[in-house]
Formats: sequence, C-alpha cells, structure tokens
Amino acid sequence: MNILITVQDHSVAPRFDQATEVLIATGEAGRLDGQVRTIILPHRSAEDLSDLIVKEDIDCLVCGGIEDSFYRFFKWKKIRVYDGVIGAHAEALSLVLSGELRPGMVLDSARAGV
Amino acid sequence: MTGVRVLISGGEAEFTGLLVDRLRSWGYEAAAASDADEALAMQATVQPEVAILSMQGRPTHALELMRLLHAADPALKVILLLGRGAAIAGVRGMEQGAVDCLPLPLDLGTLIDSIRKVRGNSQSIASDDFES
Repeated sequence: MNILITVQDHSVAPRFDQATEVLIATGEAGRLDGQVRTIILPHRSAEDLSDLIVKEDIDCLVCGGIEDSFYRFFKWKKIRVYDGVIGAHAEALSLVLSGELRPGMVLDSARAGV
Repeated sequence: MTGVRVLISGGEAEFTGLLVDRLRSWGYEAAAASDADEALAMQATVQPEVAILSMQGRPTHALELMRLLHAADPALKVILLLGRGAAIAGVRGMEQGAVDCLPLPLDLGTLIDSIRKVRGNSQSIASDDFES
C-alpha cells in the first residue's frame, strides 16, 4: 500500500491545497517497506499535488481539510482518503499502517500539543 | 557527510525556505538567495561548494546565473531543478556545466544522493535512517 501524507511543520497539513511538502511511504500490517520519501513541491497547488498522487500510484491519502471536488476525484480513482486528520505526521503514518486511522481523527500528539 | 555549504536560488521563497530547513536537518550548511543578484553576492560570503538552481518559470535565468557563478568559481557543482517543460533547458544546462538535473516536485532523498555523488561520497541515503 502506497501512502501519501501532506505535511506542514511535522504535522499533517491542515489544508490539502496549502501543502508544499508530502511524505510517501509503502507498507501495511504495521510495517514500513523501505524508506519514507520526502517530496517538496515548488509551490502550493492542489492540482499539482493531485498529479503527484496519481503519478506515484498512491492507494491511501492522509490529509487535513480537502476541497470536495478533489475528495470526489480521489474516491473515483479508488484512493482511500483519510481527511480531517489532526496531529503529528509520524503518528498518522503509524496509525494508517496499523489500520487504526480514521477520517477526522484528532491524534494523541495533537491533544498533547506535540 | 555534514557541513557541505549549499546555496539555493530560484523558485518561490516558501520552497527555498523549506529546502534550507530540510537540508540543515541533514547537516548541510544551506542558505537561500531570493534572486540572482543576491546569489552572486552570497557566493563571496557563503562560498558554496554546491549550488541548487531552480529552473521553474524562467530556465534561461538559471542558466545565466550558473554561468556567472562558474565564472567566479569554476569548481562549483551546480544541480538544476527542472520544472514542467524545462527538459530542453535542462539538457542545455548539463552541456554548460551542471552536474545533475532533478525534476520538480523534488524528492529530498534524491537531492541528497545527488549532493553526495557530486561531492565524491556515493553512499546512498537508503542506508541512512529516515529523518522527519
């Protein structure tokens, strides 16, 4: 499973269309396969980010708020979208790998102010 | 490998700022210039070993900047970042002395591997621990 997390300051980026950094990881059943890649976008663009998601053959997107048209596009592309996630990207990655992440989830790291 | 001096120029300030932060987290002495004039001024103070020039938007400006940087320091290693539709300009850049061309969006691991390669250290980032 290929996972993409939109990132801002070590947390899940609060808005999909404002993210300029993403993490791409592969893994499942609680395990990572290989390295986590950091991708830096040259500017803020939901369109370019969507192109990247399709090009990288992403199966699972973790993000904050996302515009409905993009949400529907990813659903149409059969990409699982965990939107509205609040908290540290490392915790989000761990939870999505273990199958425990849910849309709209406020992670422990956010509650603790980490 | 730490302490390699890297100068970044071209692209939006948010992009160059983020790239500086990430390279510093990997131990590089990274600095960003907001335009070509500042890049040339910073060359004297920063004395970069590697320059990363974005060709996003205005590829010929990056090539001209590379020429001027090389005039002051022929040993400077230049890595070009190619935006959409800049492939031909990238080839021209390699012909004019760039050591590598990388596509945008930028894979940070690929960039670090490229810096290590041009600095003569071929150890891949894949052998390092992931840093967030």
